[in-house]
Amino acid sequence: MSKLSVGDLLRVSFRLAFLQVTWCEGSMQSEGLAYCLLPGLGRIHEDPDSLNSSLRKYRAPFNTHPYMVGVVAGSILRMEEEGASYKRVTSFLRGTMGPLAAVGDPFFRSALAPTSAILASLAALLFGAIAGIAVLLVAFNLLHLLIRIRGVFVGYRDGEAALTRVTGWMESRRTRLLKTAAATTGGIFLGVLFSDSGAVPVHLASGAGGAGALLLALGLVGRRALWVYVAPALLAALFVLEVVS
Amino acid sequence: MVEALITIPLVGILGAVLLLERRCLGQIAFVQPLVLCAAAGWATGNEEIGVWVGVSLQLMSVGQGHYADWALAGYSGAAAIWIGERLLAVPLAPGSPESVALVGTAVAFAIAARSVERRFAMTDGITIRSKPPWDGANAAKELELLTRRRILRGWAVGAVESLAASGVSATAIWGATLLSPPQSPVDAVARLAVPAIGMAVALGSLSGYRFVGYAAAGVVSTAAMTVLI
Repeated sequence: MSKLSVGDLLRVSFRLAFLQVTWCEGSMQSEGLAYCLLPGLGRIHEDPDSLNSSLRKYRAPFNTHPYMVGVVAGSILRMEEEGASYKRVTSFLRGTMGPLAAVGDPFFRSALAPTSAILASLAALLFGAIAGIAVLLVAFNLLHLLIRIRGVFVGYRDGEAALTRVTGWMESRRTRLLKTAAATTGGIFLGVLFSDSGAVPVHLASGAGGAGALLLALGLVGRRALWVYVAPALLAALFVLEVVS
Repeated sequence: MVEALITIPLVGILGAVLLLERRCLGQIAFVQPLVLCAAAGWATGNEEIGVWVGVSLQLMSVGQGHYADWALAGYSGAAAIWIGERLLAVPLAPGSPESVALVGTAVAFAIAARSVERRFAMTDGITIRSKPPWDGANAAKELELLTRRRILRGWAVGAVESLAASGVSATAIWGATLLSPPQSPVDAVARLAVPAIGMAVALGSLSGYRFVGYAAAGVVSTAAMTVLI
């Protein structure tokens, strides 16, 4: 029988927004994580002494990608409900923070953030300020809020097994797909930017855009992976310039 | 005069609320340069400058969270657009010395603000180690209090930083108006180069490569464009 209601889990989800407010060198997110868990832990451990001793399980340094903490919070609440020992909880936290950061960082920081920023920039350039704002807010927030909030619920339902499930949502194939979309949109953006400018003739703009992209690639010699993203960007930029000219 | 008297405290109050986003309320979710600057441009009736500044800062911010505080950059950029257009009556145009000065000041303040943030993280770590909230008789209450204190501090720091950054950005706009010629051929280059540098940064972040590559690509492509044009 689950002790926590949907309302309790929603309160935990809301508090995830305050995870980083107490971030500091040393303990990092540990105070923030305990603060997020409080509504759930308070319900599970109604006796104040029991709550106090339960909170001490979270004093060890903890740090991961902030958007991935939802699933950790949900899983911990399930473990607490099952009466998990100090050792089990601390081992879980120690063992999960690295892998979750390794999944969250490439997905959110290196794929979702550039994709949504580039898409929104293109929308702003083509359709104006309001379109840019709307695209940015929807493209970025929809996904990360979904992963944060759904993570709490899935974590509470499946316990430790939820980690595999949630990290599966951000598998590397999807990350690569997002990055390729970002690179292609970036190329379209450059094409539109240069061709829209009355100050620069199209053939010069084409040359400058190509040179800029080439220089970027040259600056990254030895990083072959970049070609995967530079190539679609270049092709998209050239395509737009060809169409316009 | 009346508008100036209203605007100055408003910049501080709004900054205090919006800049909380750096530590809470979602983190890089709502207070983004493109959102703030485009909204400011739209509100002042100069949508073009709002989009240009917003797009440039937004693209530069991608993957660079460790180096600069982009929420502050966006906020000071937006406030400076408002102040420049409404209070100083400077018609801001993409690529003009005024708009380039605005972007440059916003980025410089964003880098400085990140250093302040690091300093706070360091001193907070020392405070927590000397008096851990876990050791008290009521750890839950201690944690609640700690979080509230940090939010209050975030408000105060946000207000001060937003006032300082917006004020200096507005002064930079005014200074550029005095120093620069009315129309310069460099304007056309800057109009393209600033967002193009932003795009170089954004594309560079896809491969996880940082800083030197962007700077080199930006500077060299700008130089190449100047020669070509």
